[in-house]
Amino acid sequence: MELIEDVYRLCISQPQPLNQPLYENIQRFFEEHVDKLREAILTTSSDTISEYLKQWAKFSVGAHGCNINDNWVNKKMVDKKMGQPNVYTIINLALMTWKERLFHKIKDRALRCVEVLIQQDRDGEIVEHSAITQFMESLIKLDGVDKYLYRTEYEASYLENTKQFYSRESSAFIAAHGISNYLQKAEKRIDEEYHRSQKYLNSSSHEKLKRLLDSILIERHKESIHSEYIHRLYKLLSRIEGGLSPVLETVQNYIQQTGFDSLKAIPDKNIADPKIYVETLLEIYLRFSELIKRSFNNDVSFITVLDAACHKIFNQNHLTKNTTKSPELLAKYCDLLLKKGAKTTEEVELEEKLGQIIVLFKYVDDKDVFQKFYSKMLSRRLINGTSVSDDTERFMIQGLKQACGFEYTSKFQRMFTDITLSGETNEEFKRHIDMNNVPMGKVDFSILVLTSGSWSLHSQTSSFNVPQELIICMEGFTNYYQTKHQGRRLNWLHHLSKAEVKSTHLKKPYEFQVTNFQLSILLLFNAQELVNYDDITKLTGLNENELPRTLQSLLESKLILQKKNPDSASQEFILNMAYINKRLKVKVSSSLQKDTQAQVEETYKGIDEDRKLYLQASIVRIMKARKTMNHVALIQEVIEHSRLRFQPNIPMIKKCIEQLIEKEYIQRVEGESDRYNYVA
Amino acid sequence: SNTNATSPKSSNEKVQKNTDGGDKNKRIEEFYDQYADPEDPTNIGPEGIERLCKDLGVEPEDVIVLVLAWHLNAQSMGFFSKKEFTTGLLKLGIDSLQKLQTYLPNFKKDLEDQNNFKEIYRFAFLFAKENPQNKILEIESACSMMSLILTLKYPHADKLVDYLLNHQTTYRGLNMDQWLSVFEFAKVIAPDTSNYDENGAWPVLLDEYVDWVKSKTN
Repeated sequence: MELIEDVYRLCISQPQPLNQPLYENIQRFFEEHVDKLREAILTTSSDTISEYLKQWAKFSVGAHGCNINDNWVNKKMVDKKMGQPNVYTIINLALMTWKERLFHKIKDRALRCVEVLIQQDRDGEIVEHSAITQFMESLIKLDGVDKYLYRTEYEASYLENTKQFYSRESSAFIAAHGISNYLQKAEKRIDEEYHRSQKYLNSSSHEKLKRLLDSILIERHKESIHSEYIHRLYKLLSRIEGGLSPVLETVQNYIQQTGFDSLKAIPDKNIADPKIYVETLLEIYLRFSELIKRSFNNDVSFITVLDAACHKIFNQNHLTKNTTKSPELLAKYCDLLLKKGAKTTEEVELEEKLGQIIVLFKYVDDKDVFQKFYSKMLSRRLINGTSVSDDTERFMIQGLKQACGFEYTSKFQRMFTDITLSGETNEEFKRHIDMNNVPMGKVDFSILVLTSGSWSLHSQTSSFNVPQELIICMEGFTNYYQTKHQGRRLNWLHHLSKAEVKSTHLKKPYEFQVTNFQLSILLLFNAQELVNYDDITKLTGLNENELPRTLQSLLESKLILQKKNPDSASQEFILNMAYINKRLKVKVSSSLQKDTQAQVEETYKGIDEDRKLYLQASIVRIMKARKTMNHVALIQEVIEHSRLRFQPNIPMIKKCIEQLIEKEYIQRVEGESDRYNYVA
Repeated sequence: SNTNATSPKSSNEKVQKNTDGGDKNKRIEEFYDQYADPEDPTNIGPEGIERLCKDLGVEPEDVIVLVLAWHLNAQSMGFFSKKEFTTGLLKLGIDSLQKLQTYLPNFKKDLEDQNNFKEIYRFAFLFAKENPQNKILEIESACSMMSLILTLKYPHADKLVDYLLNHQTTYRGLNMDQWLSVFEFAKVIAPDTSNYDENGAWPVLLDEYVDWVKSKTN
């Protein structure tokens, strides 16, 4: 208590507080004292660590004592100058002095000492391990003056030694005892090091050590483990019948689990992203097919196991439970790859990727879902001319054809034929116009003639009054086409048609790419400056869904403006005479470009309808051949029939059977509850 | 085709002897005329049937009336055409109200006969349909027919009616196959559905009904 008071008096003494000289004196004292301790450690007859710990124990207690006694110094000057270099609280001054003047001078020796002790520990000798633990902890106590000290000095040296040691040991061991023994050894070593790390390392280092050991003991010898151990295991077990079955099962479970885990690791918001989802599945497939090639000689039974596991991962993961998301996402990923403007990939690389997708495709249960989505997106690519290239498209279709047969891709093929024929039709029609002076207005007209039934196009969204300017072309073409192909009916798909239109009302002559719906509204401004909503409805014929959407897209592109007129009940629109754009060719985005949820649902509904038709056709075919059949056998045969396209559920098959009974294609056999007869 | 009910067999009925076919025809015409619709004499209408029932001392909702309709092979509920009424009754040897009344106990016996019972059930589907062209019997009519006949014999009937009316929205009517399957089901499946084979050929409607019964008991 007296000491504290003395310090207090010194600190508040007048006329000049004496805290500054006091601080300096304390510092000098620490320096001299620490120097003495250092010499004691360096000259000790026992080992460095023990002596260090002995001195440290005394010093740290003393330093804490000083800190309390000299608290007034801390308050008086240190607090004020906190943050200035070289001014510390008394405790930190003590620790700093210890670190600078003692630790750094003896650390090489001390760490060497630790290394030796750990080496002995690893060699199985009995070691006074509490010394190491205490030494490690003493460094952590220096945290206050250097928070990196433990990491930069102790941990770094520990990890480096560990690395050196096991690099040497593992290679030497493998050379001397072979890989089979090594596996045991490595397992034991990893276990030992875990326990060692609990004693000698702060918990912040445990993960680093684990990674280090994995890399040195396993990763580095992976190749040899595979080629010698697993491969030998395989070679031996495959010689006896049934020898591989437990291995097969383990491998299959492992692949499945890895697959499910990888998918679960994808954040929820990304799981339905086609690229992320498919790339994840692909990575799993490639990884394990490589493993099977290397370790199991591409043995058929292992490939079967891989197939079974991938099939399960693909069709029964947490995203696809009771859904057919996998084929949908796979088809969408194909679209991403095959669409122009996406990241340009080299053709060879792209074809390789597509080839891999075909492999995944084989695992798809519901191939009809893939087909539907693929067909939809192929339709869009072909109509909008956004395919990356015809060759790549054909490459992919060829692959699907090989996997699933001619019928599966026949509609795709026909779509291509339509596009090719349309090119020819356009040329012939142009010649016909020139030769016969067919009036076409001022329109440069081109057309795609699509065979109905082959294309997956979303249905008409609205009624439409074709603008007068286009009617003349439509008539010209219809006449021409109908003379050429009698009996064919042309059905105009205005909701998919597009136009390029030149502006004359603006400063610059812009060229706008618009949908025909957008065009029909723009053309109204040729006749009048201001158009109101009711007029637009009447003149364009667009319905209450399509019209607001289309107007909105034109407003967003700033081509037209809504006139503020509080007196008028109806909305009024005018052209934006001040429109400017850096480009002269402007694509006016339409509201319909994205696949809306409704469209996806429509697609699924279509898939469902197709399935019912397919099932009914199968049932009729089977019953026609068999004449009479038991219920269970019929169900089984129908499933077998559909397997290549989709996995039908039993209620759906039963409903189809019931529909056929109602339509009198088949009947129940009187008195036999489980049998059907074919009705001729 | 299985959508036509077989016409009732008259082999088990005692054909009453008649001496004069002409008399008989005359009597049956008179009998008919008593109940014929004055607006449309080709038919006995709902009002006439109600009167006939009253005179016979039975309720119009009595299942006996359905059995009568079956014997007459009547095409639609609420009406007996002149042809249906006269030829049907003559086949049974009936030409007067009184003879019909004495015959009523035989109708009860028809219901006890397993084959006739099923035929009457099958007939009820066609009879109760709003329109002979329809392939579907509306769910409400189906249920009232089931309550009328099926409840006589089978404990499932009430539960089926409850299910169809109050616990499902998928089905707005039954087709003949479902109608007949319901009969088979009621006949052979235990009240707790324990002997129901869900892998069997039962229509999906009954799969769903069984699920409902099971979920209710759990």
